[in-house]
Formats: sequence, structure tokens, C-alpha cells
Amino acid sequence: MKTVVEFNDFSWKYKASKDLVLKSINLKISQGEFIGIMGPTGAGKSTLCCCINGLIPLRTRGWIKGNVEVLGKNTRTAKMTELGQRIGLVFQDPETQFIMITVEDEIALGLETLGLDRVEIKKRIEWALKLVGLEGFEQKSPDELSGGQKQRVAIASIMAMRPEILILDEPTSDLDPIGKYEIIEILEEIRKEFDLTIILVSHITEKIVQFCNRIILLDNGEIRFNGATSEFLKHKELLNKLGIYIPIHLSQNGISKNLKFSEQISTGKYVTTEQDPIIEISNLSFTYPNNTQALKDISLKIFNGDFISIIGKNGSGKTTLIKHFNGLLRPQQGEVFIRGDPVLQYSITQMAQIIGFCYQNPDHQLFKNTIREEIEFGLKNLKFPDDEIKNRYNEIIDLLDLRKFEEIYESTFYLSKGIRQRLALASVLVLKPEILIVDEPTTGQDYRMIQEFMKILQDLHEQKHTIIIITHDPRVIAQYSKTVIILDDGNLIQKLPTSEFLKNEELQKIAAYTLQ
Amino acid sequence: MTKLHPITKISIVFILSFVVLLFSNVFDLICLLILIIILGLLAKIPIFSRKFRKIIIGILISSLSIYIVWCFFTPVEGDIIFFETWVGNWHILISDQSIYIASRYYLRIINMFFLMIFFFAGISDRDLIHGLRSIKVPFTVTLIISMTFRGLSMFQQEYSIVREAMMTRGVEFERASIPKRIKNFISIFIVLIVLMFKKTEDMAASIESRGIPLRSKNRTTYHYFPIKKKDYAIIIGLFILLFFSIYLSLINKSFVFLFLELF
Repeated sequence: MKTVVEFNDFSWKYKASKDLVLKSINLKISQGEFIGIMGPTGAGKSTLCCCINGLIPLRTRGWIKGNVEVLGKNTRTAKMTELGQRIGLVFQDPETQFIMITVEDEIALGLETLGLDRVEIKKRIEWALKLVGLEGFEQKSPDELSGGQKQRVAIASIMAMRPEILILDEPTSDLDPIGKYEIIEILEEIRKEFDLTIILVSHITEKIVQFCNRIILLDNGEIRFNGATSEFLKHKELLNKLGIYIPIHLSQNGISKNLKFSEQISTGKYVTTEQDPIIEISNLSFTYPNNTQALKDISLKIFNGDFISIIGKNGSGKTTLIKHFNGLLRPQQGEVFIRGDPVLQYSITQMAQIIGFCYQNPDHQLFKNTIREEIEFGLKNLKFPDDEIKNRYNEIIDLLDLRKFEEIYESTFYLSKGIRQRLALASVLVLKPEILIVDEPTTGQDYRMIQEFMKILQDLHEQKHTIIIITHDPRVIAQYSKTVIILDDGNLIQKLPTSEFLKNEELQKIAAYTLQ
Repeated sequence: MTKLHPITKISIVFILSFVVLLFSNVFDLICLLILIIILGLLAKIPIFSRKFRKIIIGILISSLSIYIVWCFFTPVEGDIIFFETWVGNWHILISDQSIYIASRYYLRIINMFFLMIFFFAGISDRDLIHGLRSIKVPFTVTLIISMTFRGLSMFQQEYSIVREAMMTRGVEFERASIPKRIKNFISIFIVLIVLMFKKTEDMAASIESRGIPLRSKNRTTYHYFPIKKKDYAIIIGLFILLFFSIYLSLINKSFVFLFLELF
């Protein structure tokens, strides 16, 4: 088969980095292959993708050794426009890939560059939108789309250009499990139809194993495994060492449907009392100014000490619901009670000590320059005495194992995403909230980071904190949560124990939850 | 009725805003207001929809305060004095001239307000970009405008998230003192600037990775907005009106009176 990508003893170091990010890479990719790239965070996966697309070295400064040839062109001397048009690259963050004002304009942007006529552009827009399941979305603006829908548009805008190689760097991180599955299934169909070469970066072992014919495992800039998917799972020791998730329902040869996630359910100690509800919602409805009814007549009780996963398809109303818990959104209809009192009776300062809220992107909630300032920020706002601030700071920094980073890094800006997420959690926990709400704690993180973060939440739960998470990650739901709340199109479908949910295929379908 | 071309809509707003400032005769301003409303309806702008009705009534009523200023606080002599009195040093004088001047300012405000509705309800960011592309404005310029609109929208979203995140850490925005509020907003903007830098970098990488050059001879245009006869007629009419208004303001004559004199 024709080789389309060839790395020859290639090494790369960014201008600002101390160490090599890619080290002596030798790699060949043939036309029509579906390649999966895996590895822990910081292994060099995204850098490898940028090297294939030409962004490195054509648009990024750094030190380079060796060569990369893509579609017969050396990326050191090729033109970025040519490589860009022939090699599609979908990034993880769909927000920054949306340049134009509407979906139609966004897809047309690349096609106009290819010099296509109006009729062909129209055909390709329709084809690409149908492909990603967004027919009729032509005139929508990015503000009207959910994160998952934006990711679909990003994929559509690249697919419409019909690239010869398609690189997807964590392209489905914001999608619900069924959405993820659908997109990868579509990619597989397109690959077969157009003899397309696909390179997929993902942390989700199930998807990689199911769809890719070859897996490349990167660690610290080096290729640690490069071989057939069937061989990949045999290297259990290496996978464990690198923190790659091996689902128990996957046998060495692929997927075994006999074992299911329900067998992974955590047997951890849970402390819960189903007496007085800590949060009570009655007949809550909420409509956004653009007339989207996000919540429809929801009544719900959350008890002290529970560990809850709120799940549902993209746009089902999960975030809108949790924003009512701490008064960030005011109920338009119905009522929300915290410890028996209406939520609106509490001031912002009181609420900060009852409900802690961790955002999906830690960059949204880190406001200060140093770890100490960041952790003390909330305590100072709430006017705690200096002694108490000092005590709580020492307590939390040890609890979340952040002291070593305080010594190494002068600024929070240089911390890795995982540590920034832990710092964001520390800055919330230092206020000692009874309830902790975490929005999508696993998005874009590798398995080891997820495990570390979820272990902290589990420990907090065992210390009688009520934990509420929004997640699309089936592993997290199965392994950690005790109760599942399912939302669909703004309606509360059911609140039930996780063990029952894992046995109920109908509810799993509604929640866009898939085991493989 | 058909929709007007984006360039026609933009021309209406900018040319008529200038004309409003040139007109000083009340009858001219009334005619201009009628013209703006007709053009608004022609451009399919829902000027009198429920959404705008309340705002229009509010502006019509609140702008009446102009009359109070000119009748009670700015004494202007006139041919007819309707009312005159002194309260201490305060001279209240209501004359035909004070009412005329107040009416002129009132009508200018109302004209400007209707043009504002025209601008915000009638010209979308998409109209602006497509309008500029249809008159062959370079792609680089329209891309920058588009990215600016996207950037503003992202900035607004990020602002709201960061503000909420601060509130969850006990920051009071509504009840805090003004210096404290300023300090809080500075903290938000520092975070936002860092976030926007990252996002701008990512957007640039996204454009480059798709091989979109700023200059290309092969680039085609998907959207086709032909400027129709009606658009040409309106734009030519607007320019005639503009030049005529400049001329009349130089010779200090009224548009309506000149028209009546001629016929």
C-alpha cells in the first residue's frame, strides 16, 4: 500500500520547552489505514498530529531534527496552504475552530478556498451536515449550538474539504457516549468510501480498539508500541504502567459482550442518609431568552451524603439544573430549597460555604497568580480570620498533594491541566462546602488523571460530602456514583441507583449511554 | 416586499444619520422620520413589533424631557410668548421659539433612535460581512471582522462563566462597594485576557491548519447577493438626498419649504 506519512528519525522541541517533545520518531502510515494514537497527557500526541499537518515546523518555532514526508511532500519545505487543504486536522476545542458567523458559512469557508463553484459548495455543505447529523442547522450561529454540536460542525467543515488524510485530536470529548460512537462509526464509513487515512487521538480504549487497525502508543515523546490492535491489549504491563485504561469487557482479541460495565460497579463505602433532603426542587421550569426551554417541571430530592451522576444527551438541561442548586440561575417557575430554605434566601457568601462548584475548564476559575493566593482567595472574600486561613490552607494543600507544586512553580499559569484542575478543586474545597458539584471532571483527561481526580472525590464522599457530577463518562458513572439522575430534553426521566441503571438498557438509551 | 441588499441597509443607516444632523427644520425632520420608517418596512425590519413597541413608547415619552429643558431651563425669546415668570433667579420662558427648538431636538433624537433600531434589528453581523464581500472588500478584512464578532461572542460567554465562578467563591458583585467592584472586575478581565490570548492563538492555528490563505486568486464566493435595481435606486436616492441636504444647510434653507416653493 502507498505510504502517505513517513517520519524519519524525527525529533522536535518547542522554543519554550526544556526537553524534546518528540524523540527520534520513525513511523510509516499507509493510505486507508485507521490509526489510533494513545498515551498519557503530555506524551506528544497533539504535537505528532501538528507535525503531520505541517503546522510544525511551518508555523511553530522550535528545534527540529529529521524529516516528515506527507503525501510525498517534505513538511519542512511544503506550503502550509497545500498541506492544510489535503490534510484535515480537527482540534479538541470546537469553540476556537468556529471562525464564521453561521454553520453554513463555517463549512463554506474552506470550500471557497478550494475554488469550488457555488453548486458544488452547496452540495458539500448538505452532505457534510447530513454526515454529522446536523441537517437543517445551516443558519444557526455558534451561540445557538451545544459543545457537542460545535464539535460535529468542526468535523463537518473538515470533511467537506474531502482531505486525503484526516487527523482528529480528541474530537469527541464534548459528546455524549452515543454521540461519540456515532461520529467514529461515521468516520469508519467515510474511510471505506473514500479510501481515506484516519489518525485518531483518543483516551477511550474501547473506541480505539473497536475501530482502528493499528495503534501507536506514545510516552514522553517516544513510540512505545506500534502495532496491530489485536496485539495492543496483550501488553498489559506496559498499558498499566502508562495508565491506559483496559476495560474488563475487552478481551485480548477485541470486544466480549458477555462482561458489562455493571460488573465494575464500585463497592466503596458510601455514607448516606435518606432522611431530610439537602436539596429539594419542586416543579422547576426554566426557559432561556432565545426561547429554549431547558427545564420542564422538574421535582427532585437530593439527600445528604449521596454521590450522584447527572447524565443525559448533549443539551438535555444538566448544566441548567445544577446552576439552580446554588442560585446562579433563579427559578422562573417552581422552587429550589437548600436545607429546607428557599435558595434565594441565601447570599452569595453563604452559598459559597454550602455548595462548591468546580467548572469543566479550570482556567475559568483560577484568578490568582500563585497557588497560595488562589487557595486563599475564597477565604479572604468571606473574611475569615488570618489564623483560620493559614490552617485551612495547610490542610487543603496537603489533602490534595499540592505542596510540591507550590515550591516548583512560581505561577499557576505554568501548571499542567491536571494540576490546575486539582488546584481549582482545592480552592473550592477550602471553603468546606457540604455539597460539591463538578461539571464534566473527565473531559480531555487521560485515564490516570481521571482516576486520581475521582479518587479525591470518592475520599470526600466518604468524609460525608454530597458529591454531584455531570459526566458523559460511563466508567465514572459505573465506578463511582451511587445514584443516577437522567435528564432528557429538559425532562427528569428518572432518579435511580446506579446498579439499577446499569441493568436498564432502555434508560441507558435515553441517556445516550453506551457500554462500548 | 423583498429584502434589501446588506450594502443598501448599511448605506441607509450611515447616510441618514448624517442627514439627521444636517436638517434643522422640524418639517424636514418629520419627513425624514417617515422616510426612515418606510425604508425600515421595506427592509422587513419589524419596527412596530411587540419587541420594539414598548421601547419606542418609552423613548417617545422619555424624550419629551427635552421640552422641559428648553421651556423651563433655557429661556429663548420668540415672536409669541406663551408664559413667562421669575422664581427668584430662575427665569421660566415658554415661547414659540423654545417649543420649536425643543421639537427639533426631539425629532432628531427620535430619528436617530429609529435608525438605531434599523441598525441593530436590520443589519446582522452576517449582513455586514456578506455586504462587504459583495462589494469586493478583501477577504482578509472580512475574515478579521468575522473573527472579531466571534471573539466578542466568546468574550461575552467567558465573561459570564468567570463571573459566575467568582461568585461561587464568595465574590459579591451587586452588594460590594465601588472600589471593591472595580477590583473584582479587574480580576475578571485579567483571567479573560489570558483566556482570549489562548483562544486567539487556537483560532489562528485552526485557520492555518485548514490551509486558508489570506490571499488567493482561486477563492470563490458561496454567497451571491446581487445588488438589485431597487437597491441602486435607494442608494442613488440617498446620495442625492445627502448632497441636497448639505447644499440646503449651506444656504440655510428648508427642504420642505423649497419643495413647496417649487410646486
